[in-house]
Amino acid sequence: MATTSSSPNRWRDVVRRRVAVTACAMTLWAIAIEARLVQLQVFRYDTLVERAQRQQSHTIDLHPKRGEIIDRQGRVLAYSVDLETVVAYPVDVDDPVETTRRLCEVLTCSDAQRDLIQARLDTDRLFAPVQRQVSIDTARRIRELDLEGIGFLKENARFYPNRELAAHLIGYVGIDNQGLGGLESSYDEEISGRPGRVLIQTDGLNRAFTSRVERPPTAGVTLELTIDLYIQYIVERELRAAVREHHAAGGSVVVMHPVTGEILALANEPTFNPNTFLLSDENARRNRATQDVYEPGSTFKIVTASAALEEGVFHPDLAIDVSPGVVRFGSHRIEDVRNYGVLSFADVVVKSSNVGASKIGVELGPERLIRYVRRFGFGQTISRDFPGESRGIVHPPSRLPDSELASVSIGYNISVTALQMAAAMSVVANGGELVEPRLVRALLSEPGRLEVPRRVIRRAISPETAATMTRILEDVVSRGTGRAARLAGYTVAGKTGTTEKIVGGRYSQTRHVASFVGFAPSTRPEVTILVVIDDVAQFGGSVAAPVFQRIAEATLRHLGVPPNVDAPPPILVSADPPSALRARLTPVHAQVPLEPSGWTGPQRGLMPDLGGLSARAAFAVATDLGLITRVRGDGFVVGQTLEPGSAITRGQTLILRLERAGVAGTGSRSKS
Amino acid sequence: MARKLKSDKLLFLATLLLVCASVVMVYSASAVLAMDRFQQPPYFFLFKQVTWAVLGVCLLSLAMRVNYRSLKQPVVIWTALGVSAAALTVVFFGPPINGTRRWLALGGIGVQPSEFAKIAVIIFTAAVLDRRMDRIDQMTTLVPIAVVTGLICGLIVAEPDFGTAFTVLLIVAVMVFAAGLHYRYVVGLTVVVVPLLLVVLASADYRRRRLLAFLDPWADPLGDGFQIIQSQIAVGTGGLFGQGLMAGVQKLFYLPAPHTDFIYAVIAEETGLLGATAVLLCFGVIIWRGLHITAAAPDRFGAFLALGITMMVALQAFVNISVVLGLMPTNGIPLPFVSAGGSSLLISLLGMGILLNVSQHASADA
Repeated sequence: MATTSSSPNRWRDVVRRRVAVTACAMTLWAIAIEARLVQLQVFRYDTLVERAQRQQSHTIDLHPKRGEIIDRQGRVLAYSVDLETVVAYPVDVDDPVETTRRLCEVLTCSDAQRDLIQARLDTDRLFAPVQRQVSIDTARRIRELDLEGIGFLKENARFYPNRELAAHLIGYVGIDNQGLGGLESSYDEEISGRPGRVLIQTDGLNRAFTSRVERPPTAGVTLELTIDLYIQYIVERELRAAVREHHAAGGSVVVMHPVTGEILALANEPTFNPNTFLLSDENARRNRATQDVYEPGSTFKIVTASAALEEGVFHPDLAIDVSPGVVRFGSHRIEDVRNYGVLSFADVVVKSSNVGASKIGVELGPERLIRYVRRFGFGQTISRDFPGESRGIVHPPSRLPDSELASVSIGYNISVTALQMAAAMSVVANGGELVEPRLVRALLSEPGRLEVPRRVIRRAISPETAATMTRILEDVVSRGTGRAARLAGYTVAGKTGTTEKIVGGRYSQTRHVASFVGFAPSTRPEVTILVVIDDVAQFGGSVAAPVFQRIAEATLRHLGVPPNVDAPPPILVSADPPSALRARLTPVHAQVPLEPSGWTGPQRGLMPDLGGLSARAAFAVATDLGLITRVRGDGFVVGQTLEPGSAITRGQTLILRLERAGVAGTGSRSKS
Repeated sequence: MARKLKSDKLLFLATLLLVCASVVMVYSASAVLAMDRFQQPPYFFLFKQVTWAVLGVCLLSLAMRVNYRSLKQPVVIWTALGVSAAALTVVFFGPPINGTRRWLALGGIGVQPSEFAKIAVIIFTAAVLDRRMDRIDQMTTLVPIAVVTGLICGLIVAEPDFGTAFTVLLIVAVMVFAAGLHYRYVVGLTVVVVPLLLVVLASADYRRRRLLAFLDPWADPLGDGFQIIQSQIAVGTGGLFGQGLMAGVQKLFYLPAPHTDFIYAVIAEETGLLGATAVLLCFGVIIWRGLHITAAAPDRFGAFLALGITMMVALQAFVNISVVLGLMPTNGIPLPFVSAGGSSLLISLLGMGILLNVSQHASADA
């Protein structure tokens, strides 16, 4: 291709042509680059941003501290303690073996644990747990080791300082603080609060370089319960004693305020320790008072009787022939304890005549009776505060021929929970309204205190019927089957119940559910108390009524309810001869010598030693001296705020501390 | 010459814009890297880049004032080639840095002999074509070019730096093409060289893996495909207007070399389609003006010199951007004027100086 070289424009044409080709090629390349830019930055923008966020952003939950559970006086029933969890960032751990060795020095781990920790440290992962929930102190010791790639997370663990006390009500939580039973479960959302979220951005080496709190954690609310820890303690102690004494399988007690619906105490036997709930069996963790049903027996006659009065079918003085102490409805045979002959309507309840009650029920008919059964709250859940509350079993009227209806009238062929029975009794006590039983009095949180209001489910019976029923039920305690429930100083209305347990498909003559339900003072009720003792040989009047009596006495005193009838003067009740009393009143550790001779009652102006006296006796002495007396605890005086021998004036306040244990010698006397 | 010569202002402006962008972007991309990986203050790479930029612009204005025709002297050409070959040989016996022997330590400053070799080869080829353009299709023309280019490229491949060697080869190829090589030979040479390149490409394990990762980055997204995917994520998240200067995240150890080879990804992430296109436009202006100078050059040496230098910048830029966008396999070519690094910046600015000098003569003699 040799051509003449001297032509000045010949080479230029060649170069220009080839440069044009080159320019075209470069232009195409540039267009391809721009097209790719548009593709990535416009069309695949969303996908790539999403991918970027997935690798760059991570959210971490911040768990708020779980709210406390306190009783109505502010005493703590459940709280959370700060613990720390040791975690590792394995990418930053240079020497897993050495790190594990030093960690294990503090944690004192087993060989298996050591291997596990080492395996967790020896990975490329971003994060691995090392040891969950160690104490603040242990965490501090690990922190002092200053190990590379080891960090800490705050956690909190639940602690129940009163162990078994109110365990069924409070419930328990799992290791991640999720509520598993009781209020911990039913109010889990409120107590846990809302976790906060932190958005962190990480670089290519998985290290966070910015963090932003997206949402701060909202602290869990504190639940203020209607429970009074002191009453709860008394209830549990008395229930446990009764169950042990009668070798019962279990039992429940419900103490509620009949007007407000507040549950003051609720206890079951057997019980468990929520701190170590995993060690207890499921049977012990069940809240029998709300989850188990039983046949209420004679206590249910209050419903039958109330329905009959409200419907005007009967009036209290109407005579009912209950002879010869047995009646047949179809194949059903209903018996009384003995032949009562002719009883007034009221006495049918007072004497707890099955024959009379079943005749009343049959007279009412299934529609009317079941209507009242439902109005009283049976066959439905009545509270929001108990997880797994049973509705009980109420058969529809269409399935109740006379024979079955007669059974329902006396509390058989129907299943109820203890809570329902207590609420039903409260209907009579409060003048006819079914009030929702409540465990939570208020929710306490940052903004303030949110009171849970009293809630009336419905009116069940008129105030007049309730008043009539109250009079009849007072008679049950004063002269009927519930005499063991009488209280000094207060009028009591109540009803006993004894149900034969079904054993092997037949009602057993020897195995009973003994119960007593009542309220006091009957004229202006402050408490409704239901006692159910499961599987005992005796009757409700002899097993459950004394438990009621002891609980009611302690509860009314604790609540400061003034006596509504003239209590027998306590000192006169005392069987002690005057000399013994004098000896007792002589100060044992007197600072100022008192003149012991010529005792004529407490000496005016000087404080006697009341140590060892029963509450009633000490109260009487102090009242006689013109002191305003408050009592803490129950049992016998072990301490007093005014020193023995000190000068006193009328109107001064004396606080007596009582205890039951340790004064065994005088225990029997107080019950007389 | 006494009268004032007109140089290409647009070319100068585009170059200066890129250098300014470089200073900003190198700082943005390297501030955290400097602290974290090099335990240096965040301004470490910024200071270095500003120093090199100032030196480079001085070099540019100096080269602008030297008549390009003086480069045609055999003394200059053979000295440049000799120094290049010697430096490339010396570097081969030096200690490796990051597994490669690309840098020569001169008084504490890392110098890349391959950058200098590019200019040397361009001057040499331009000089040969100047004399032998009329006999371009003859072996006497092609063989010397092939031998010198092959030798230099061979030394560069041995560093190993396949990307740079490939660029040098491509520059020379375009120059020979522009000299009017018959299309028959163009096709023939392509048929011979491409398989040869593929053999070299496949001869090293790391190059084979890069090629496979390029073809399917998702086969190993956390291993070989990582760089490619991270680079595309960076570009994509830029969107139209970018995340804002300094606000990019991908430079924080997601991108392999955010201040050098992958600086275009940082630009795309922080300034979006707008900024990425602007940088591309700057290179477009340089290519356009460079090719214009080639066509208007007063003599053949000036034309080939201008073309070689233009292609040096253009090919490196487009290859680098193509790698960032996942259009080409990773190869370690920096973005001229923009990537952090003294040798590349100095040589590129020196090239621009020569190009501007040619443009003065072009305008003067036209």
